[in-house]
Amino acid sequence: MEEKIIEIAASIFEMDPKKLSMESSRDEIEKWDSLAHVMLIAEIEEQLGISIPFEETGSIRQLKDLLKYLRG
Amino acid sequence: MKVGVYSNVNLDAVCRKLGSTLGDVQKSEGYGDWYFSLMRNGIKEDVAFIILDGFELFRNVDNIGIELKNYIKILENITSENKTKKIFVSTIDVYETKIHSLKDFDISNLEIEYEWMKELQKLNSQYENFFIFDLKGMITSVGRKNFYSKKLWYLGGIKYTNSAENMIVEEMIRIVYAMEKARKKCIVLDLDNTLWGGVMADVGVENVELSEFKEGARYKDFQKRLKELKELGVLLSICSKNEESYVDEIFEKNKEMVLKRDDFVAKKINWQPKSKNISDIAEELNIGLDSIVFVDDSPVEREEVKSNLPEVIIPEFPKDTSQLEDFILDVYKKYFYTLMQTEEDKKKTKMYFDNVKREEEKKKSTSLDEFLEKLGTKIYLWRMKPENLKRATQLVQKTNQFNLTTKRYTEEQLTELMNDPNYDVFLARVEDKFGDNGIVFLLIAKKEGTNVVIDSMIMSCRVMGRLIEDRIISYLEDMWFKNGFKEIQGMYIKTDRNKPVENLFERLGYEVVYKDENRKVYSLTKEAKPKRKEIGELILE
Repeated sequence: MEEKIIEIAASIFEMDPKKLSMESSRDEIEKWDSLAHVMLIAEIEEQLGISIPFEETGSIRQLKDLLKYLRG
Repeated sequence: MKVGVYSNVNLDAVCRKLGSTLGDVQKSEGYGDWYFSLMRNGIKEDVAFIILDGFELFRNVDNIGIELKNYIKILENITSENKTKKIFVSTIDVYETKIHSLKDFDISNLEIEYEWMKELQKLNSQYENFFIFDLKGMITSVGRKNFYSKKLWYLGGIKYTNSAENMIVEEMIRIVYAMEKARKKCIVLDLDNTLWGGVMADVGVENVELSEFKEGARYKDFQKRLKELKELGVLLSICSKNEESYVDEIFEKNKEMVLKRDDFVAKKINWQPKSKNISDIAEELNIGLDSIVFVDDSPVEREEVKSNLPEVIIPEFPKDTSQLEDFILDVYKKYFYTLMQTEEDKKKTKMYFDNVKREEEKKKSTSLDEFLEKLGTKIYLWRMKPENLKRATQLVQKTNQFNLTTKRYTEEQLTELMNDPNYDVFLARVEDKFGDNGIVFLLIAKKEGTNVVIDSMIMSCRVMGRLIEDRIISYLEDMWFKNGFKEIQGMYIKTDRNKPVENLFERLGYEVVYKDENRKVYSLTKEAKPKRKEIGELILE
């Protein structure tokens, strides 16, 4: 599942997936701007068939923050 | 090709996705003012997509009727002031959530949508550069639940879901590709279990599955769509392991057949390998193997063709034959997507029939010269006029083989060249005793001091090998020399497709003055002009 998240993020940030890890965060990735953030959430929700509550979308700072919605 | 996306809602994600396929995409600055920059600065891109959200367009507007007319007026002005640009305007979905009693049924939004569509349709029929982008159609096909996203709207002012935006992006890419890339030309079709259900040799020509309703409708619907493709200028051919007599019989006797014998330009009904038949078809029609799409239900046949002719496009035939119609729609979108049917398209099947007759004549002739004499070729040559722009652009954008420099001018650039006194732009139409080949030749030359530089020379492959270029260039050379020009320069720029004209200027007696891996420059002076074979008749218009 982590691989899938990285693959999705890489395609949105237009980056080499090898340069991303679950630790990658909004502070260090330049392409992770506010538009990319919304695109990421939309893509993750659709491809993984999950729903991230509106209230929590702002607190996703790192790719690993997405994991808890998969498990939940 | 430059692309602009203008919208009254946030389509930044669409632009970003589009940009990763098409390069830089221009977008409107503010959402409320989507039309300001279009009105003020005109359209800078080659294609503008104006995607409008119906509800946002009329949010808080008191008199919608007047506002709607205003917008249409604006769109009409933009269209008529940017004639060389293609403008796509969306249909609209006026959708709002509202709580009301059952009795309180409201159809005013539907009326707005309809009014909008009617106005767009007027512009569509009035302006050649105006097209409808059917956003409403997309919403209808997937449903509003899948198209709109509340979460993204509240989060980032983005109205549509990720998958909805992907649909929009895919359609835009299809449109841009349809403009700049050549369509495929021919579909080669198997018969049994492809055009009808069952094996006709076993069940009889009248008992195959082919009917208006129920099981047989899978195939009849498929045939209907193929017929429509043919009307768009796609060539149909048959390649089937069968007995010819059965095939004759089904065309004669089975009343359910939508496709008739004359809808097919080539028929290969025999027991030879299909790869062999398909290369024969390509040769007969004088088209590349990479312009052929092969449709056959048998994986064994598909594999045989695939391994022997890797250039041929071979879509996976649906295992579930109720999907046949969707399958052919998909094939259309992928390989034959068409913005506008040209006059050439309508005549295409007939033109290829004429070509088949020419090939037969060629086989009967003892030499090429004899054949060319018998053709009675007439070449009509004239300086390009505004009414030729569409066809000229098509030649410039899509001709790969007989194209000396492969400069892809846009319609706008061609207009400039046509009006520039320093340039000569010529077109030629070719006719012979078998029929009209249409406008098949274009030449752009730049006059520089006492030199003439042949900037582009393009000819449709369907008239290649008939020395038409010799006749035209001879005429033009004489004209230029007579007008006092001393030297004519030619150029060949290598691409992976234009090998057939690699040595054209050498054959025409030009001297190579420069040569490297990708480029050759040639020169011809009046004294050096050789005597060439003059085939047919050249008529100046």
